Amino acid sequence: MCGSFFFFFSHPGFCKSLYKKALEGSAMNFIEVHPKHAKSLKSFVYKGADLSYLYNYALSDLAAYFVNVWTPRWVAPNTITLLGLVFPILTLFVALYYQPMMGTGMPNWVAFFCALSMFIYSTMDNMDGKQARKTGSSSALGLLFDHGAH
Amino acid sequence: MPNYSHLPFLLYTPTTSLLNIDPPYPARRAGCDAVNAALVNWANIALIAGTHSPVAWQSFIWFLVPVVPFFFASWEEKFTGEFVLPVVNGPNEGIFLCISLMLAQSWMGQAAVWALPLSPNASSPILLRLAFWVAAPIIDIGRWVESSLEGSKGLHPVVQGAPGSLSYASAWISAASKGFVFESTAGSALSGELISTCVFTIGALTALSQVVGVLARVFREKGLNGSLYALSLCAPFFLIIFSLASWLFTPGLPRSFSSKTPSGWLSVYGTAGVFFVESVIRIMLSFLCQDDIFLPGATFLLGRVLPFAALPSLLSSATGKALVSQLGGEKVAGNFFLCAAFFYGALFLAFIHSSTTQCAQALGIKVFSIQKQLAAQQKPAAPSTLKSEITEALLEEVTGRGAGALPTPPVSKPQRQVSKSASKRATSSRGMRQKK
Repeated sequence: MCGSFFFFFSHPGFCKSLYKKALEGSAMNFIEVHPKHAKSLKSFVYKGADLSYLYNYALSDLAAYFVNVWTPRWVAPNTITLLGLVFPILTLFVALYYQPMMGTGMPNWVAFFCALSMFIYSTMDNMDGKQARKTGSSSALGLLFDHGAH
Repeated sequence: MPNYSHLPFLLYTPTTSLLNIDPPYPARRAGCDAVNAALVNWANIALIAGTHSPVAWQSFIWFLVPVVPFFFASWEEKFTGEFVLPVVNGPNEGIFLCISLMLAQSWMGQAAVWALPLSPNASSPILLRLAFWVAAPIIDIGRWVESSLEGSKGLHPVVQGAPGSLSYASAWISAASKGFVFESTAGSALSGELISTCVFTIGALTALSQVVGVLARVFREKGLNGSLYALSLCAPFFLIIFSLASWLFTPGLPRSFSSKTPSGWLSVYGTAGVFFVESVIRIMLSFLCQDDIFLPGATFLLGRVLPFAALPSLLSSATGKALVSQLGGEKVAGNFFLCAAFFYGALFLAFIHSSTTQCAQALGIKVFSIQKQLAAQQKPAAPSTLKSEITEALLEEVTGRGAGALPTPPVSKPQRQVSKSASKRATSSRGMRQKK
């Protein structure tokens, strides 16, 4: 009985309908993107720049190297974006473990871990846009995912 | 002996937060992305800064410092349509500085690194403090005036960035040299409040200059109604901050949470952070879809943020007791808050999933995969070291020589050979994701 109960609730159709009902009934005021918005999304052109010399002469090339040499073409830019966020979150839990109430005196390796994760986060944050251009998968969704969801 | 071990994060934070403010390019990136700024970066900074209590005034300030510029950068991007990082900015120089200092700290040890004679002499802190308190407001006021002038190209970006960063850095050095930044010694019991006030002043001034600059620009372009409308969209941010403050400063609540159980304050900060992220995503969606229906409206503010803000005060005033004691003790209350935060977090993930899925469907793409047909049809638009048109134009203004005259970065040959026209084609065709 327990197995059938679990099977029933784990059925994709049931979960999907439950998920939809939860979205409709919740107070989250979920977003509905209508077809009329598709035109705006498709015609969106990002206007932005980074004038930093450090970025233009070092970090950009480093990210480009990782993208051009080490990143396969099948890797989606949003995957890189999401992977980058894992590292600061990991650092958070490591730091919380050693100092749950924001005290002082964390081990030195935590500092190294902070530096490493910050570097990875920064590099992957630079890489996602380059991967998008490399694979021709640039979109407004990438901007939303990077700045908002990431 | 002051403890400088937290200097990298303290330098990183104001650098990230403040140096992104440089008219005449009012739209810029806020340094961290929304989740990182609101939920992760805050806790990391506060932990490394050793604020000793998550519900203290300092922790509240550390939450505000990355969140304030991020929200207003998104708000600004909606109304200006641009996103430009200045010559010295937090995401690059700030993070680089922080990484360097953290590496040194991990190699040599905290005491060895921060015992280096970095502090200024006895007379300089007064001058440095004066430099901060006088220069920063002058710079900010100058930016307001400059941004309101029609057709003004503004100061040179390097000139704009240098005085501000110097004044902010001087404030930190002067505070650190006095020993009231990081270590609560017997002689500096109020140090945390002092430095938090200092940071809060900086953040408030900067945000104010940013808001005024954007409002002036919107006023020029869209008139009074447009600027009033833009101003009204700042309301969600202030309500979120108010909701967090009501939790942290309700009598009895902070004292009850000051234990070894972090679930209570993590939940409170997490909920406020989720509110913040949702408001940023809504503003971004409104900007991308060119429709104000996505903006955080009454359902968001009155249905969720306001009850969250009013709950502790209502319950406390009803019985005259602290909320935690009403909920059956600290441990039970902590678990209750944790469950509530998880529940809201699950709803928030559904919100993210729903919005990204719908956008992907509207665009006909997938979020985490590249369509093979599309990738096969479209050859690489341009090498990833290419700069966009706007980057080249701004670099030209910065250097006075143009981007083409800049020394070529050490890249591979095919990347060097791509012309500006190729970049233009890439930008116009599928260069929408030109972030960095």
